[in-house]
Amino acid sequence: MNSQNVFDTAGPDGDRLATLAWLLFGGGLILFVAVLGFLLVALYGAARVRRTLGNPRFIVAGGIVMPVVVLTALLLHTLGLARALGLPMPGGEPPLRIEVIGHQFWWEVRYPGTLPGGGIVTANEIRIPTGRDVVLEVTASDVIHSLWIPALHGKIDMIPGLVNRRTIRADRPGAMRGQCTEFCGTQHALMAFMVVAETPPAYEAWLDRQRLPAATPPQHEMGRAVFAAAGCGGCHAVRGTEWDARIGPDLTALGGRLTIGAGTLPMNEGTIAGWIAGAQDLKPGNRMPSFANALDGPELRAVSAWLESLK
Amino acid sequence: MTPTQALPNPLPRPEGELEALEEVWKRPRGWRFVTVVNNNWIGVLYLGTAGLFCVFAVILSLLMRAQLTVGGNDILEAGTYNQVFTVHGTAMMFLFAVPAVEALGVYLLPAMLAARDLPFPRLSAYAFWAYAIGGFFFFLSLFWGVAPDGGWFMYPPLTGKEYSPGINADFWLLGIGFIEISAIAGAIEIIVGVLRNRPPGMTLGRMPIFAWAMLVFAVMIVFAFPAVILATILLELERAFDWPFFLSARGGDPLLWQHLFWFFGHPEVYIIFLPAAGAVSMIVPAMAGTRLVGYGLVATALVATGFLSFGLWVHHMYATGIPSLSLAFFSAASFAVAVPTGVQVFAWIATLASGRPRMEVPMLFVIGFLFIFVLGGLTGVMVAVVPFDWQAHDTYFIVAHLHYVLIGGMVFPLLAGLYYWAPLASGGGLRYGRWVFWLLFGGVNLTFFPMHVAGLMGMPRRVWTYPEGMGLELWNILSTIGAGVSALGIVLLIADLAKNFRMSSGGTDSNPHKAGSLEWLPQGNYNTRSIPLITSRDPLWDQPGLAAQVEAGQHFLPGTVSGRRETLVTSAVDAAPQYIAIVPGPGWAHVIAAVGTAGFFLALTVQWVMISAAFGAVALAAVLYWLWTGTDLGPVRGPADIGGGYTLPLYVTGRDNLGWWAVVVLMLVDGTVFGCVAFTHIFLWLSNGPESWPPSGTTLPGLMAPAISAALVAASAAVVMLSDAVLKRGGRWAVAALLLVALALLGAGMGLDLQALWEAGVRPTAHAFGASLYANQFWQLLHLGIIAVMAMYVVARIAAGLVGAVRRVSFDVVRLFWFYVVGQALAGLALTHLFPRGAGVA
Amino acid sequence: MGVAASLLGIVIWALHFGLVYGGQALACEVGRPSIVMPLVIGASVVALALLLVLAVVARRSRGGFLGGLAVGIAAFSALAVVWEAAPVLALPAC
Repeated sequence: MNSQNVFDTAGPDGDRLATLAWLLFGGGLILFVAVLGFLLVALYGAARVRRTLGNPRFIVAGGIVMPVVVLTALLLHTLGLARALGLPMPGGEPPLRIEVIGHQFWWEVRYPGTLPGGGIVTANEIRIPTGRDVVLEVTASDVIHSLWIPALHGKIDMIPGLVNRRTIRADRPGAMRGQCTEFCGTQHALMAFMVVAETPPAYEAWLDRQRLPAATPPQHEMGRAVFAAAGCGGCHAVRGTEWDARIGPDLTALGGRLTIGAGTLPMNEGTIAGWIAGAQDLKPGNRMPSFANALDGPELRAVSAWLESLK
Repeated sequence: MTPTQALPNPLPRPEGELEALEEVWKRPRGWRFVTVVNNNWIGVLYLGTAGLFCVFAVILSLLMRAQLTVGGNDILEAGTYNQVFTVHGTAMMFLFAVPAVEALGVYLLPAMLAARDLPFPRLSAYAFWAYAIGGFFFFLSLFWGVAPDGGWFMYPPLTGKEYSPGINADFWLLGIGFIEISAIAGAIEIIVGVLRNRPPGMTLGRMPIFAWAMLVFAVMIVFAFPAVILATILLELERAFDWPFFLSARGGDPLLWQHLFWFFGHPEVYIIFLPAAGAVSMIVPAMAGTRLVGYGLVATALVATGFLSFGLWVHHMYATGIPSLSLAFFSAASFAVAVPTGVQVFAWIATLASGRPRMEVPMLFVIGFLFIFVLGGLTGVMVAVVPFDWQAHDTYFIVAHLHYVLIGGMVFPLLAGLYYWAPLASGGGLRYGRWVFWLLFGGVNLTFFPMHVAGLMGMPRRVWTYPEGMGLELWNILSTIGAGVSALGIVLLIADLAKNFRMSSGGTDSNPHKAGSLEWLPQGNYNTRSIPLITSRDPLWDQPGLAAQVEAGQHFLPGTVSGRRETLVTSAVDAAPQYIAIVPGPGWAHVIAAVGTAGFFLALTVQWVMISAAFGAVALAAVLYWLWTGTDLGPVRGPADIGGGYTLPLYVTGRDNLGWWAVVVLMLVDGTVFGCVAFTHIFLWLSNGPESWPPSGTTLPGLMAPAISAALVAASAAVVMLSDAVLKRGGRWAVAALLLVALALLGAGMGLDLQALWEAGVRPTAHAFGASLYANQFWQLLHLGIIAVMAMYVVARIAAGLVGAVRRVSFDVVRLFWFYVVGQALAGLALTHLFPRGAGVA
Repeated sequence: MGVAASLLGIVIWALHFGLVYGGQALACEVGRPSIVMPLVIGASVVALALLLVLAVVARRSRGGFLGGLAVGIAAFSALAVVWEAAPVLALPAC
């Protein structure tokens, strides 16, 4: 599930790009071998063959005619491919719209229209249904980022003040990794995310769960109190509570995500506690302070347990 | 023609002729060596410094490789890693690659063209010192932790004040200001040198391919560097004064930077590659012992690469959301530039096939170059394909590609050149070449080939670490091992140079490779004893006895006719002798000017404004002193006989003068910067949409004020024309008075426009609209300042009796530049006042 | 003659490139995608015709090396013009 290999594809456009890559590698290998072959013949070949290569016509044939033919064919092929990429699925539903906003160094993911007067907001994970076109509308709040899900499609830059669109479609369920590919500051390296493709019913069920506000069963009251006392609500939102700040990720359903810290660690109660205590050790330079000195062990465990329970 | 009859000068030569020549070209000894200006020495210093900076940048790359050996490593922390990769990239591009090829040109061109020196030796010496001093401080910034950390491409808004509040980014923007200046200075030197300092008979069609490559290289600098010069000015204006060029909240656009940067940055790759290709085109025929097959095709390919490479800057921006049709234009343009490169590769193969190649060290490096560069070129075609690039972009696949292209396309040819041309500069020969080659060839491939795989497996560029479980471990370990092997090769290379390279003024008088080009004539500090008459492309092969004739002084200008350093100036196309230019010898002025220039930019970086101003004043004073004492000497003697029936003047005015040519090149640079100012304005207009340009609430002044401004500016040109007429009739004080009047008119015209804009309420900080208009004002007022200095300089020379009806090059140069400034001012007025109105109507 | 013809070939390429790229950006910005195809094809036909004339003139003038250089530059320019224009036939204007 950690693969970012461009050949581990999960959708039609990913497949097209992988096929293109093999075509280019094959063609490139042939040309490379041919040029080196000519070079070897020029150096060590029989005199008669070398005389042929020493003629200016050889330059015209090899240096002009050959590249013009090859590149013209490649140009035509590319233009055909450019038309095919991102074509709407024939007879499919209208595309699903998801907004992704890049922040230093995490991803805000919004599902417009999924709640009355708004939509659910999550972070660092994009859930999509299989077999349906999804338009990612991407932008950035601070500096330029770039969204890359190699299994599904190529990169699209997230530029402040500009909304870019990239249409993706997954054919098969599964989790895949994506990452920021435009250098965006100190922790550019640790700005990753997961894409989870699910069958449409599973996706709808997930969506229904997300629509619910956060619940605080009695055993988690202390965790909620620690959250309040530590001032976490100054940056984070938890829908169904009084906290709705948008500086950091929305934590309404934190426990249901696969990773924490934008792909830095797998999600579980222990890593949540570790992240809260030492965000600046795990990912120095990100905007989440370390709470190791502010919270004692029981407090840390309580708040982590509560957050983990939100799914 | 029979050789003995046709030679320009008879034997025996007068007694003392050679001694006098040697005396004027003697190099300064001891600590005065820093005053040296002769290209033979400056070229080697330049190359050595570039090599040193390369080694520094390589050390940084080894740190990065150590960090990335395994995932989660902590040799370098994230912030430090970002500084290290930024300085590595910036230094390799700006402090190594461009200066190194420029240095190669400075060193080799006069010898290949049998010129005594480049036309403006102090200019290249100045460029060298400014670069060397500035470059050292740029590296030192790492030790204080204030090195730039936004990548060598410096994309805003990350590099804007909000997200990069420290002076790190300023170190990039100002700290390399000097390198832009020195690149432009070198370009002027090389263009004028190649076009005007060739030996008689060396028409364009007989020029060595290396000279063609350097000519194209220099012209490309003239048109490419202005874009990055303007981009750095704009970003620094934004950082220092909050002019929002790149801030989308106030009408700016981050993509503006990318367009300007890559309009420079893509040609930059070919700027680096072409001189190296030119060097290969010299080495291959010599090693094969035969003429270059397809000389005309290769020259055409160089020119074609030069201009086509300006049409593909967007191929670094495929993922920015630009419409697919625009991307396809640039994809096609990228394909087009591959063809001339293919022509050169096949020309080299054809040349090897038609000769008897000797497998000496330079040849090994040429073969290594072909292997690595062809592979990099093929991956280059791949990333020109838009959909493939969407996957490969900003991954280690690109890191692999660009290092294959740059190491293959530039470092290997440079090393081939080092081993090939070392006998020119060194008494002792280099010995470890084969070991160096195999270590570097193996090391480079082992370092960079696995990066293709790592990139396709999802490893992005510019990451200080990567997670385990992505399958990246093996490839990164291989790369790190490869980097170690390459480092051994570099250490061995340094050992070879330290042990076996012994600088000697002019090297050996043999032709060890039995090559056909002129740099293998017997050389001294003055290059060749006499300047040969050329009748073929490979003179040493086709003109038997040439070396002996040249050495004996039987060709042109076998001594010094004025008792000063001189070089022969010929016509640009046919290389017909025109005049003898006096070139300057050693001096302090350019060294002081270089210290002042580097100090100006560095002090500005750390915001020592007063100290910076002091350095700037020192630099300006030194430049003026150097111009005053070293240029426009007037007719120091009457026309002199150079042999072959040519009696040439030592002083010409008007369009034949070298200074006039230099100013024309400078005007092309300035005009391109201004073109980029106009592009900025139009781009931001498109980006904001015509309805919000100007933004609501902002109005331009009425057309009355700009009309008056235009009239005043135009009147200033008319007054300059009048002063020219008066000067022709021998006027003196009237000329000075008219120049001052013209200066007042120009200042009034520009000042009025600035005032009108300000009074209309347009402010640079409010919106990108105002910022763009004031950028135009900034550029115009900068030129007003330059013209003011120039005018006062000429007035002072008039007062000193140094300008008159005959001795008038200073005046001519200022007059020419004045007309340019007036034209630019009128275009600037049109841009400010007519463009948005005209567009609003449409 | 040869120098001028060489420079002219470059200028024709540059003008074509600027017109095609700038014209397309402008047409899309002001919402007139329909003019992109005629603009690109028209500009390309004119550019190719001019390059052809240039090449013929340069060849006939027996300019030696420089004449050949001008013909070669015209040929490279023409190749770039054709390739750069081709996408307009396949892709949507904006």
